[in-house]
Amino acid sequence: MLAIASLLVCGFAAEPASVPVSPAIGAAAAFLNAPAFAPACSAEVPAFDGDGSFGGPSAGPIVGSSAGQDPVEKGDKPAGDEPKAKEGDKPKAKDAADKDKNGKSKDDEKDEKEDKPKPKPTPPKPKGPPLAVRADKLYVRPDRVLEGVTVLIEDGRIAAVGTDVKAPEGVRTLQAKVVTAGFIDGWSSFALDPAAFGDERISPSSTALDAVDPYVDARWEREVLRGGVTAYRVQTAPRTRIGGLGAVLRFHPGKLAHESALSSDCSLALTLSSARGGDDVFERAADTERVLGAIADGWAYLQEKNEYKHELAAWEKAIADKQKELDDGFKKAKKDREKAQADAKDKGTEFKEKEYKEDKKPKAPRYDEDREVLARAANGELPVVVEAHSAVQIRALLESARKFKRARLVLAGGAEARRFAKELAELRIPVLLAPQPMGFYVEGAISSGGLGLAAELEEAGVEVLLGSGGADGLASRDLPLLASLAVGHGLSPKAALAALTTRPARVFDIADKVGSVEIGREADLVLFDGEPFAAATKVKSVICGGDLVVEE
Amino acid sequence: MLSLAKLSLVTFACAAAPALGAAQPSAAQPTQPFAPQQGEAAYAVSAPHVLVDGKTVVHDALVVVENGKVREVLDAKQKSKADGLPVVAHDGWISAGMIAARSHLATRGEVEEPKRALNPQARILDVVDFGHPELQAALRAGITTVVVAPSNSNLIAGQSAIIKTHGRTVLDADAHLVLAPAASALRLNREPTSYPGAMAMLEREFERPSGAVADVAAGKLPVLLEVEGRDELARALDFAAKHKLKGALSHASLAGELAADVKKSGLSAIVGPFGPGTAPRPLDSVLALAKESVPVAFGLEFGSAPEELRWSAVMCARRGLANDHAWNALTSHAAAILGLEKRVGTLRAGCDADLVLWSGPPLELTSRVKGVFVGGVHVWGGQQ
Repeated sequence: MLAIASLLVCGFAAEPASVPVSPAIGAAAAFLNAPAFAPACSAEVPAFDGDGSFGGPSAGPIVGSSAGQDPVEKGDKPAGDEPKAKEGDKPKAKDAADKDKNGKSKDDEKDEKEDKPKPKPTPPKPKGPPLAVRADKLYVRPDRVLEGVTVLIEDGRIAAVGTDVKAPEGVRTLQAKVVTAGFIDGWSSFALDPAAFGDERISPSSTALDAVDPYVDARWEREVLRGGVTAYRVQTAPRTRIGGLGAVLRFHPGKLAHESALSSDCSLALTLSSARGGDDVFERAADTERVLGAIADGWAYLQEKNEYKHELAAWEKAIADKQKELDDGFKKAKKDREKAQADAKDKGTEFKEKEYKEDKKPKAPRYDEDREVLARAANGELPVVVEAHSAVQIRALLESARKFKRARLVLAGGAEARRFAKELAELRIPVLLAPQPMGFYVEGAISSGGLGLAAELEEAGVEVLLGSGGADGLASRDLPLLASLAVGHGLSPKAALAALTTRPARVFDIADKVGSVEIGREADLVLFDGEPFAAATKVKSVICGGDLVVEE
Repeated sequence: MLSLAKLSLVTFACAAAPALGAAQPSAAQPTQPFAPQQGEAAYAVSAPHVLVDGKTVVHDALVVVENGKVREVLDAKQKSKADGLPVVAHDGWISAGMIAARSHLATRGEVEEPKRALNPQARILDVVDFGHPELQAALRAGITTVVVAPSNSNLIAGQSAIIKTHGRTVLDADAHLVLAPAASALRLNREPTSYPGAMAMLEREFERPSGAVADVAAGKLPVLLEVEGRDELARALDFAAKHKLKGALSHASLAGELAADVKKSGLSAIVGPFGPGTAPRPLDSVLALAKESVPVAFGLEFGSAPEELRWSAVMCARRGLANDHAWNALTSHAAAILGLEKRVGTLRAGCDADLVLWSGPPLELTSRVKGVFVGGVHVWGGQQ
């Protein structure tokens, strides 16, 4: 509302014409022209709309706006940009009034930037020197193997891959028997502040980047890298109902978490726990409903916003029509008015101005940063990782998936997912498993569902992802061993490799950066002396973001 | 495919193999692994690779089993020696059964006396439930011998036992006396309440020893010294030296940092289990102990899954422990620590025929247990 007020002021100041129309119409006219006098007060304009799509090609219903924008955003901007563009709008909306008063909106913005815990790495740090890797066997992707190839790395990216590629003179060349893309731990708690684990105050817009220790000891990062794992997804509060926005970070010993981040908002996390609600079955059910209700809430917000968009468009049209009507009939109206004035004078009666009925301007839904996130989740812009184990919880999740078709759900844990394999496959819900060697026969305890679960789900056509489960930060190091266990229990090595590389990259929208060894991808590579899932195999070297971070 | 499915083809029709016939004992008559009257039974198991011990692999081999014991392992050239014997064919690897050198399996949590700190006569065997599914789970993971011990929550916690995971076979009813001069045994509501108090109490028991403590003092009964931190370890080593204790350290996750002292004490070390995410120090500790040639074996925790045992060894191997050493820690070294090296832990002639049939090399996590024989009896896998 305050922003509207500021526009009003601008509008009147800038409008030279003195057409005698009512203030409301004048304001509307100014508002419509707002972009034209942008330098004066344009900063406020996008504030009306959370996703910045105001006036864009977003007239359509829910389906329209954000889904259409999605690929553009993902494709064109580096990850660090995205949340900022979105979050950047928020304070503007809030501070619009202040800006109007003291007129130094730009300074405000600058301050905000400095306050941010995750400033964008601009200017980019100088990239490491070019590198070349000579691989006897290269897994470009799990289903694409090349032999006797050279991978050339320049500016942190893969510049060339091929048998005929030659490293330029002076470029250091590493040799390896087997090379794969760096493994991604889809479910980790590395570097996570212990206090964040069970913090129930976490809300959907809490970001994981705020919950990790940016100065985590590089020794731990090297420890994990030596296992061949280069990136991890972490969420703010893994043990609470709503875990906030997850991030995919790198184990880069030379860089702070945000500097090497692959995505600072890769997922929204929800947790259905049987521990909550205790023995009371109704309380447990209510808890499940409450947690999954977040998606419904996001959907409702999305609808409110879209309704507003339509109402606003209709209102704007009505105003424009009226203005046109007035413009067209201006001479007649002037004549009529003058006549009426003259008549009144003649008759000695009081002249009354014609009153125009003011259409009420639709009111924007209250901006709510949490609901903004939930709306993105409900709309499928943000994958929703739901940790659920029991059959009841998984069933509730499937119901949500059917109801909110746009939402991209990911089931994490899924101890009892076996019997829902077919439905999970049909609904294309990936399952993120943490195959644990422990505790699977403890009576009464919810366990990892047995080591054969991954293979059984894969068999049924479910897309299986593997993670270390987040029980221990350092467990990311042992992710390849956990994958070996899953392979031992029937998962194909190809699927296991996909579960650690291409699949997490795709599900968490970072496939354009990592997950495969293709030209243009950022160079996260692991150099092995044998097949990745063999016990005797050792990691020889690791390249993370183009830098050689582990060297034998 | 399970190659053990061939079992039924090859041997079950054969009257000369009562050992295998015992694979499905009736519920009412459990487990006499090898009744004496079956003593004449002999058969062979063939496999492309047989891991006799950590260092010895025989290829294209036959394991000849007689009277529930390994008679011999034959290579391709010697195969004719087994002519006429029924043969079970397996197309993967065969190894000896693994040993959990410390566990609380099949005790249903009855591992501590809650009120009394000194329980030298308490025997864990009295609470072992031989029908507990945990033993079956251990068996399926390839573990055929386990030490069941009282927990570390009492200064003198009681006596451990060594059993097989199948067949109610007790190898040692009073294997160790478990001593825990450690924080884990301190309580506020009973003595000892402090380290000095604990050591004083222990010294008192050893001044006028009786019962099991007397056996320990006389060197007849080994101890399992439950300690955690380095300070506890150092105290325990002093105490062990003073009273000339034999046996093993248990837990002692940083024992490797005092490897030379441990070596001097003559005690062995039972470590682990190491779950995913184990910090580097305990793993490096194992490497340091191995370097000092302190015998090392792996143990399980209360509530541990049996898979954790092999996993622990693989973690150490990844860290740099030689593969044969890692395997021996799971088998022959564990047997030696328990004083049972002539009976379990390898497939040398005369040892119990505790065979694990694997789909691939046993130390590969991608390999799985396909079948298990205990005392020459096929007890799991194959056609089941």
